[in-house]
Amino acid sequence: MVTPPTPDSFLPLTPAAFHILLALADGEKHGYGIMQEVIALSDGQIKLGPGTLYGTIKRMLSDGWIEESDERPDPELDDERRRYYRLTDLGNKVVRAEAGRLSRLVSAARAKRLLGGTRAAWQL
Amino acid sequence: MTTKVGLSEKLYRSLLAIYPTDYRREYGPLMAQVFRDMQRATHEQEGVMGVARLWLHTAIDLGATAGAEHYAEFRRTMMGKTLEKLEIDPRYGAWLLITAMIIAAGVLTKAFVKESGGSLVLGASILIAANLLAAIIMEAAIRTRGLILVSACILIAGYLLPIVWEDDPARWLQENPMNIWLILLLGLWSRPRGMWWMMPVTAFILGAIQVAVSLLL
Repeated sequence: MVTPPTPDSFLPLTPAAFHILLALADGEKHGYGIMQEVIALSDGQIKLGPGTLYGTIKRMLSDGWIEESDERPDPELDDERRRYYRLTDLGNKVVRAEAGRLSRLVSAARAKRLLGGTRAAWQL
Repeated sequence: MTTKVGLSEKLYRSLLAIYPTDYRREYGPLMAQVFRDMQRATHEQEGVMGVARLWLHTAIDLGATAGAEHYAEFRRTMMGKTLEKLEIDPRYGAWLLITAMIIAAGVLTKAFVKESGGSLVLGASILIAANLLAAIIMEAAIRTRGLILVSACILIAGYLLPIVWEDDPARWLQENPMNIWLILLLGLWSRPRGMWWMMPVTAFILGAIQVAVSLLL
């Protein structure tokens, strides 16, 4: 009997995968919506190209992290039908696990006084 | 401007042909749709220069992700699955195929382009192929002194063969000095990593030896 993979087994995530999952954390979105959310979340630092976006979406669909929702127009854009995606339970667990991992790293950086404008211990 | 935007979208759609067929069928229309949205928003906010920057970013994205998708397809082929069963990194199979294609391109160019440009392409292709082969051997799971020696010989041969190939190497070098520098630069770019004799300075030393030997012939 094959043991299903645990969320931790997928860590660390690539930056593209993490940002896409993060963008979907508060609701389903279509491709361009995901792209815009990632730009907003990263203060413009990360701009996914269409190839990176859908290459990552394809792998996440295959891994069961996200699923297709439906196809419908976005009233804020135009009448064209767009494919929407949403997190699965596994995807939810994976993005939470990655967020936890990053949080622990940030805590470690704070403990070494690398954040908040204070000097690192070795500089004292 | 509407005409130019439409042409830009058409160009992007045609470039999607570099992706594998199945991937293109499934995600091509979605990628084109997203590109159209991106272009529309960029043009409204940043004008023509913004769209030019978008194209630069998109071209890099196209090249990188198309390569990744082709590699993923390769891993699903018989050769890719066989390499995985043998516990050999499927990248080696892909690299060997690329190496063979590079050499074939160089030989074909040399055959049809009689001027020094053909010699340059052949020389550069042999050098790149030699570096790729050496990189494959160096990154192999089993590293023996014999394998390291073989990879060193391949590297050195890669630098010497382009000169040996010529009927009058000294004259070729004197008449085509730019070729030497281009071959050296290509050797730097395609060098494998790890051993000291794979480092950039070694590429220059080997190139200098190559030039000195050729001029003394």
